[in-house]
Amino acid sequence: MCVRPQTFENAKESKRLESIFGGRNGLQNTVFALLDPNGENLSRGSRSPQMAFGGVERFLIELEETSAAYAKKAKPIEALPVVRDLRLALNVAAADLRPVVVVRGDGREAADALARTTAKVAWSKDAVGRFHYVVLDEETTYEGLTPALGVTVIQPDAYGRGGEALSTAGVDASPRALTRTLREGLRAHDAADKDYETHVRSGLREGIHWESETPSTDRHRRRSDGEERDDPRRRRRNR
Amino acid sequence: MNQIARLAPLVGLFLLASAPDAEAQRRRGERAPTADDIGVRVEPESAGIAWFGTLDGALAEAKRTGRPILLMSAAPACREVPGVW
Repeated sequence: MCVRPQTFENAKESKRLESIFGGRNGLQNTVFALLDPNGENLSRGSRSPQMAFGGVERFLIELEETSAAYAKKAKPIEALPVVRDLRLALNVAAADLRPVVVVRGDGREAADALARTTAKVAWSKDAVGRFHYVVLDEETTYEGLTPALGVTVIQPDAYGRGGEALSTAGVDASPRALTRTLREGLRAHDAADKDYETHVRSGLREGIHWESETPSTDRHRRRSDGEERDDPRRRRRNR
Repeated sequence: MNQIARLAPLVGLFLLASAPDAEAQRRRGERAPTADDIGVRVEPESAGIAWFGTLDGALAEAKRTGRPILLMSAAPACREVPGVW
């Protein structure tokens, strides 16, 4: 299973990530590790696969061996791979150039039931890895976007600040109907690849600012007005 | 061979090497690593990786299914600009 928590977006998660790999200042921008099904480390925590294994070839061997050790007894995945909330889901989907599938039920029970139906489609060959998902159990508005009850495929804008509905299905949609909705959304989705530097430069120029839930402890930080923020390491050195 | 073929898309992502200039910048500490540096970028129109976005949800499903976890956290913002890893 592949897991990509968003760094600096949840205090409890940050603590766990820092226990796996923390730098001198605390949690780093990226954390990598292979874990067993109980969440215990199978590899040392590091910033990246390259740092942990020294290269792609060694990483491939580790993946093969780890996978083979658990393959026989592994059960099929049934849970929907969700992002925590709508704001984050739009951001993550914008970064990955993927549509967001918003699953919204009237209350937790209805939302969970619809998520279970959606999960059956999400792990199908045509859908796997092509969408991000978020489950809402009440009306939620972000940047003028209020997803309707049921399932809505959304194209986020380039910065994940809002988006446009591409296709929808009702709360009682069957897996077959959801398959059609996701397929329709994917066909309509149109995201151009991004050049990292251009994207960041444009964002800074336009004053587009992302406030993470917990403070970033990685070294490189800059405000949206372009001014460098205080670097804790530099501050210590200057004392 | 089949196993290698199955892993090829995943490994392909990690083979996306960063440009030498960008790598030099990152090493000098002028910027945090990007998706290209750490290989988490997904090209548009291709099937990518089905990432669980929360650690709690993923750990529960890993325990239920008996599957190991590839954990790769990243911040969805660079210089506090969203929409990019």
